[in-house]
Amino acid sequence: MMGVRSCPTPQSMPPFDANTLMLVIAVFNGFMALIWLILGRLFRIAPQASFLLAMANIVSIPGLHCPSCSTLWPAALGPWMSELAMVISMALLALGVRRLMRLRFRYVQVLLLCTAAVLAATLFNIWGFADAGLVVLSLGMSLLALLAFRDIVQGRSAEQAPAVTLLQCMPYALWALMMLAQALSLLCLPQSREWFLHGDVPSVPLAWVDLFIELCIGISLVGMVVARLIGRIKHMTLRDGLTETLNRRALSLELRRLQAQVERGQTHCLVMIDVDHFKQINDQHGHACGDAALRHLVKVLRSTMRSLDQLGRMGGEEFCLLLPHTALADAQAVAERMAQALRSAPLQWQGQTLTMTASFGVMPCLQDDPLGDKSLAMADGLLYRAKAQGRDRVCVDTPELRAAQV
Amino acid sequence: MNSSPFAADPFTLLAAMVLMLLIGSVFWAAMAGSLNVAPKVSACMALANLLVAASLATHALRGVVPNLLAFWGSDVFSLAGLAALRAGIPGLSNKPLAWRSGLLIWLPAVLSLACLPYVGDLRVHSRIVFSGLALLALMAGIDTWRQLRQRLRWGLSALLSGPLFVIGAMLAQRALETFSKAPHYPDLLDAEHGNLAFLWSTLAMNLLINATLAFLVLTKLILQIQQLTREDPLTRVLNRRALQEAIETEHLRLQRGKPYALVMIDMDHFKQLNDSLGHAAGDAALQRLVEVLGHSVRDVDRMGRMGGEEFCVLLPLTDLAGAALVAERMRWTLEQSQFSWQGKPWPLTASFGIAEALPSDANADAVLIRADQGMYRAKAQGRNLVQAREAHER
Repeated sequence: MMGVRSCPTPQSMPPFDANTLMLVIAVFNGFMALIWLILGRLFRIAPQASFLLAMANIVSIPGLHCPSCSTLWPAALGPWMSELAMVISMALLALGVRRLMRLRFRYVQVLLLCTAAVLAATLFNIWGFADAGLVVLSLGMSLLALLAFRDIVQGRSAEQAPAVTLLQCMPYALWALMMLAQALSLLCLPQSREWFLHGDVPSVPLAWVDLFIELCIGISLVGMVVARLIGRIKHMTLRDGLTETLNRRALSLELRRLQAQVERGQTHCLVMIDVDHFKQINDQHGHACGDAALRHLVKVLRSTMRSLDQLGRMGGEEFCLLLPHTALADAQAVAERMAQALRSAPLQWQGQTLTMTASFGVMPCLQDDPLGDKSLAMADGLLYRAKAQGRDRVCVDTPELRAAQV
Repeated sequence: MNSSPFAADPFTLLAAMVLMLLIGSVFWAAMAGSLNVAPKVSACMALANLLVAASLATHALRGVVPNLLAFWGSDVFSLAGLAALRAGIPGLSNKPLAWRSGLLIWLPAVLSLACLPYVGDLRVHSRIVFSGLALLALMAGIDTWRQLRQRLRWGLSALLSGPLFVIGAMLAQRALETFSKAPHYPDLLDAEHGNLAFLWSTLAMNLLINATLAFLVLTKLILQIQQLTREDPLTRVLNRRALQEAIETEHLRLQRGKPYALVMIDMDHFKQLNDSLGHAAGDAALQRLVEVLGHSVRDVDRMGRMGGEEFCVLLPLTDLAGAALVAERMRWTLEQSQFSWQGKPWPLTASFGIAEALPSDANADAVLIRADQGMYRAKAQGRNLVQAREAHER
């Protein structure tokens, strides 16, 4: 099959060779399989997705370049048996992408599509309709590529730039289009067949597109893994490790953002929360119980929060809740509701029931306070007031209190 | 039909390699630009891929592009490509780029190549180019190995830096090969067997370099994550979980006759400091405390933050008397140290509780509790003190 040279290139440049291109893709895919195995086994990154992607790459190799494979099956099965490997590889790729994007792992759809395409193509080939078999396989691959495309769009992270998503989806969309066009040309436009096939090997343009797509898919999937690790690092630097709430740095950034909006006339509130008698919990039941108590507190507080509200840990047993676009009276209601929820949901610790309470200081975000320091200090003052008045209560900012504090 | 499974058309192979390198370059540029992953390394890799692609493309277009570009230019690009790779390696540890050593090899090689005419026998050219490339790859490998050894085990470091040494050896072998060969005129477009093997090994090398660098960047990220899970973000000492793990490991060694002691440290009047000077001052005081106490801590000791203003130091192979000495030195240095916030001085002191692990201790928590009780005793007796609770005390 060597020496199928057909491509109108400029006089001075030699023509390209489709077989060489397919061989390069095969070598690249073999290399990528190795990479995924190392990623999954050695680095323990997304082991299942890595395994599926490694398999997808390995399975594709006989489909791409296997000069002596045609002797393995009877001639009656027709010239397209190697394409079966490509469909199976595409199915594995779609599954690997789904796993990598952390979507619900529903494999039935992919499996059915792949099996149907393989069976129908084999039957068509046996009956002697080799082209019809290829049409079925092309359509199957097109649909599988579309599934992978959809998964990548669905599984993208919220803060990802649209251009990056576009780049990531592009190879799958291109592949789906190419395969669809190939099926259509075989079905109704016999004169354009040369665009896709040259004898029974892919044409040079198709081989180039194929190489481009495989390179993009392989490299962008590795990029996705890297992006995910980066996301995890960002998350960890902004979160408190124990309670998964914002840490102090992230909270002060959020507060700064809200304070800037206060200057433009928005009303925000903040609530300072401190667990009552936390030292006793720690001393009587140990640090592990203290940790469980904080996690329990956060769980209870979260259940009464809106999605817009932000909870952060100031340190120790002290938390701060940011309530954007909330009037003081509503903020007070939120705090009262939280205190009530906490009272009615005691902590279960090693068979004991520990009732937890907390004190709350509710404060509106002040004007002329770009860093939020003043608002925080005032809320802290209200919190101490609540503690001094006997704990387990909400203390709200009033003009008289403010005058007394100043 | 050619019998070899890797028989290929050299021109197509070169073109495919150029496409591969260009896409690789875009990938690294995206890493540097949008994800901000090890930006220096990624930018250097983007440049390296681009330069190697240019080298191969100009070589493939001999006869189409001017001869100066197709011959001398191609060698200049390939050398510059590996020089960029070598320059980027220190970026893995966020150190400045090593462009000087790269330039030191690139410039003499390029200048001497410029003085040699590209006609007839090109063996001398090949020797210069490949020994230059081999040196650059070797330097990159050594640099990588050194950086990895500071943080990783022997085996993993060898595995991750190994490919660069392999590439260095392959390139050196190409330089040595010219000594045993008859005068020749290398042309990558030649379809003879030796040249095809050369092209495929070049492809493998390019894939290997990119993969190795990708794995190095991944390792960097993973180490960063590990550190984040073990470290207290404010003071950079171990967090409670990590320190407790270390103490538990040390407790297992106790059964083999290796004693250890704990020093529990609690800053005095921290609440007042926070209330009168603000949370930021409190943070700065904690950082100062760790900085001051760090001088009294040996390499084998582990310091961790137990939460709030409470710290703990694990002293392996130390008894109660030794712990008392360490704690007393810590107490004294902290008392002598200066701390001020926005011009206002604040005296930093702490209360210390010490405890020695005893064979009768069922677990590490028992030792921790004893150290904690010693610390409370120090607080009760007036703070800025070192105290211990004996095991037999009730």
